[in-house]
Amino acid sequence: MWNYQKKLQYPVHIKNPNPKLASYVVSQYGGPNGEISASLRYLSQRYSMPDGMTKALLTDIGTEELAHMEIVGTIVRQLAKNATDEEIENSPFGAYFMNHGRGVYPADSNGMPFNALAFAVTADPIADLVEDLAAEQKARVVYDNILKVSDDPDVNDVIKFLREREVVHFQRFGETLDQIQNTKLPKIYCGK
Amino acid sequence: MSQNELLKQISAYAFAEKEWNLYLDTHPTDKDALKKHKAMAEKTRELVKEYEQNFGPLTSMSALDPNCFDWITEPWPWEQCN
Ligand SMILES: [Fe+2]
Repeated sequence: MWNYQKKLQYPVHIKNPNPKLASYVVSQYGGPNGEISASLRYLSQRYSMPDGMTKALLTDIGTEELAHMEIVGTIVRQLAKNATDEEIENSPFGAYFMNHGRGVYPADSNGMPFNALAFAVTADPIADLVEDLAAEQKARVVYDNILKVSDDPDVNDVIKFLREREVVHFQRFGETLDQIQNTKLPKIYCGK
Repeated sequence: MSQNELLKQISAYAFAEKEWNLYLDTHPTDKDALKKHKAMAEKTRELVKEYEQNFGPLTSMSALDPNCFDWITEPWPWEQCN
């Protein structure tokens, strides 16, 4: 089970409202490569993993992604909260604003609501872990893209932290995949 | 207490704590409820400590074995242990 800690994993203090940036960053909340997608992917895949190591890793990374979801939601809220109606109307955030106001809704930057089709659960550890490796790289690419279009140091500092976590997750997933493929191959196919 | 019995106790006290938690969210000045919430929280902490010393960590923070990270040991909660 889970317990909530009333703190962010990494602090977010954004001084300047920026609804345009909010409409981009929200993609890492509810988009296909975002943190909700990551979290649900790992926390769903873990049930059919073959050993303690992979079950632990998917539980732990899936849990950390929940904390990242909270960080991204915080960024969106802080970027939108003090934006004027006019600033919002003249930005790509305007379309989102019609239904969600200055709130945080799981959608991508095109306004497409979160969809579990963004990830897979195959119950095959190799297929699932290879997907996880790709997912971490795709999340890293979105953070790279945000860094390309954002010149707000308050936002970029947090985005760089999140980007770095994707790199670490990729590394750990690679190690479990290696472990399964090289030493535990028979166990994978025992019908679990 | 056996591992299963202790786990059942922890779940019961933690659930009671959660119930008082929700109630207090909307009645934050109810002194009697505050007292009961505190008692449930303390009892839960005590039982968790006893459990972890005897049967291994309930959170990664309390993995105590200096030789192996016993956090990763099976079974996990969704597995039947028989
Ligand atoms: Fe990640």
